[in-house]
Amino acid sequence: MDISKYKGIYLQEARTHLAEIESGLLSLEKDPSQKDVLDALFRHYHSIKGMSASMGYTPVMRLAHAEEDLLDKLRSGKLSLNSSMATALLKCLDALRELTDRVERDEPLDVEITPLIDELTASVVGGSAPAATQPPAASVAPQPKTEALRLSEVMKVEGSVFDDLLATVGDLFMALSSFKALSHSSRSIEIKEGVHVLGKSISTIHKNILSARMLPLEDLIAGLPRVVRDLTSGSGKEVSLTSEGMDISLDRAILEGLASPLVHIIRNAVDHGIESAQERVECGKLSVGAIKIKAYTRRDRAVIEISDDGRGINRERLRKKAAERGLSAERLASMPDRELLKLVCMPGLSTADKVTGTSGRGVGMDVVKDSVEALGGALGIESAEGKGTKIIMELPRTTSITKVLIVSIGPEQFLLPISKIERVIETGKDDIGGGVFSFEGVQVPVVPLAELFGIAEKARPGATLILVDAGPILGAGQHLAALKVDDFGDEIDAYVKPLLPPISKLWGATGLTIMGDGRPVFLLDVQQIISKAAGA
Amino acid sequence: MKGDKIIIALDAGKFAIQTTAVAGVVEVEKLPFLPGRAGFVTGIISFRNEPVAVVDLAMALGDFSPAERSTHKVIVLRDKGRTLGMDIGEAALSFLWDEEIGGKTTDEKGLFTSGRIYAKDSTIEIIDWPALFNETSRMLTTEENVKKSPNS
Repeated sequence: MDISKYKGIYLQEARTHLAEIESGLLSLEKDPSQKDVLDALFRHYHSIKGMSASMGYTPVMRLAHAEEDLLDKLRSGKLSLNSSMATALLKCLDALRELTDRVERDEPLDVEITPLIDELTASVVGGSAPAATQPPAASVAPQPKTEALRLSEVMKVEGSVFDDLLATVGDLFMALSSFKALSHSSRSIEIKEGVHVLGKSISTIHKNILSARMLPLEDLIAGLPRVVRDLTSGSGKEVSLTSEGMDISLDRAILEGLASPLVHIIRNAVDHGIESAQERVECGKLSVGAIKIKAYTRRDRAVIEISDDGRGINRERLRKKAAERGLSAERLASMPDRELLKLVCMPGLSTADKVTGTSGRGVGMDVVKDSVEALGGALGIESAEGKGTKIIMELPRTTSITKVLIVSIGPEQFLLPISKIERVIETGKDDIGGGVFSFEGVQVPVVPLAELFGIAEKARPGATLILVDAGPILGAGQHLAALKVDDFGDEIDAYVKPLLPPISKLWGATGLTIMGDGRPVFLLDVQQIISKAAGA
Repeated sequence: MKGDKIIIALDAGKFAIQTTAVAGVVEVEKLPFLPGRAGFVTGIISFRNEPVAVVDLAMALGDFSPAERSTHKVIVLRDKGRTLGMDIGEAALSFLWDEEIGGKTTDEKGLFTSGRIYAKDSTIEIIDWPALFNETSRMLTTEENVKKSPNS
């Protein structure tokens, strides 16, 4: 595993501990009876030892271990701190500082620490340290105090600070939008130039803030092996969990929102998808079930697939359960397979034979779907009976500020996320027939937005089609849909505000932005619109 | 029902709203489009860079035949995290100190009204805007099931 990316965090944490150790040792030297200080010092050394062992910084680990040992004896009352012990501990502290500085500079940690450990030992027995048999490969002389005052280059900042910064940048984007509108009508070159420079600066700030908020998926899934272990424990099942593409980074807020859906999907796979070892062997499968998490990017979105090689979804049972919940037989019979499978997201519906301690009550997949959609994503399900199930989540990688295309339907304007747009095509009136448009040999379903929103279209001979990536909604092999609009305009950076009550459950929109002239314009929920059009 | 009031003079009568709930009054020529608008929910405006759903007060009170308007005077109401715009068209607005109102105030309830003031020269209905807000939420959630499940 590449741990170099954690070096910054290591240094920041280590220096925090070292600063606390210094303060603790000095305090302890004045009053060796302070039990709480001894306890705290022990924890600091223990933390440094653990962190260093994880990172492979062995000399740091060894030195911290020796000091931890001494502290343990002090706090258990086996020893009392004397001045030679305090001196030895402070020397070791300086050496730890030197070692962490070497970590920062990517220099080898070829420091001979044995003399320092010997000095620690000698301070306990009251003797002097034996002379080192070999000269140290590098000296670990105490650092001048002025250097010890140097601040860390890595800062620890509350996540909420970045949330506030992002919101402020959003306000800046909206202000910029107003200035852009003004500069369009201005003849002043200075104003146009100023707005241009302002826009570039705001974009840079935005990019930097987003970058600071990005975390790799592996941070999120690190706890999943334990989840799988606990779920399979005593169940007669064996499951291997593998992952691919976990270095893809997403905004922290999106990762946080994914935690619960991910655990639920894994839990479902273990509880209901993967068969017992005996059952698997009987049907010719390996006794160990497999769950694979695969992530990749599609344009600026992340796709996360969680697949298992279990029994798959039983469609007949699904139909039966859906019928029990009031869906008509005709509707079920005419439902495309992709829609049928999505019935598992129907609130309260579960095809599980039995309720386990953790799942099978029909609570969950509806929440998973809602959670993914609330993040601006889409959920797709593929399943082959006897072979397994794949849950596909397609998500934006960042939040709030989105590149959008302004489109017009009649007198109204809407926004479409650029990330979803494949192509914009001007068509003649005869190019669309039977609700489909032929694009590069593929029949693409046309979604009439004016009709869906109840807006009168402009009278014109042709139409503008926005070909969008429909994600997993239309099923395997069909990824395009054509949104029919009257016209399209500029591409802009929109600060998309979430929809709050009373418009929080609005159909067809995921958010809105306030344009430079003060008009609220809605960002269309492409997935939901296509989903409705496909089901109509 | 104590407190200063904004008085709205509609064709259907006089209506009052607590001034403490009024965040501002905005005039627009045209209400921007609100997807799913229906009944008395007529559009959306922005107020201090925040979106505000707008209801037509006359329609909410049962008058569905308002004249074509060249101006929409929208009273923005805000309280406890809820915000709602109340379009009163070109109706006149006035302000009354609590001491000026006089008369008797009762808790007689009506459609989106929570009380009545029997003033010296007229009767004034007190608008129950939280009820209007809740009904607006409900109306704009008519397709919530579409969002919740693909099978409705």
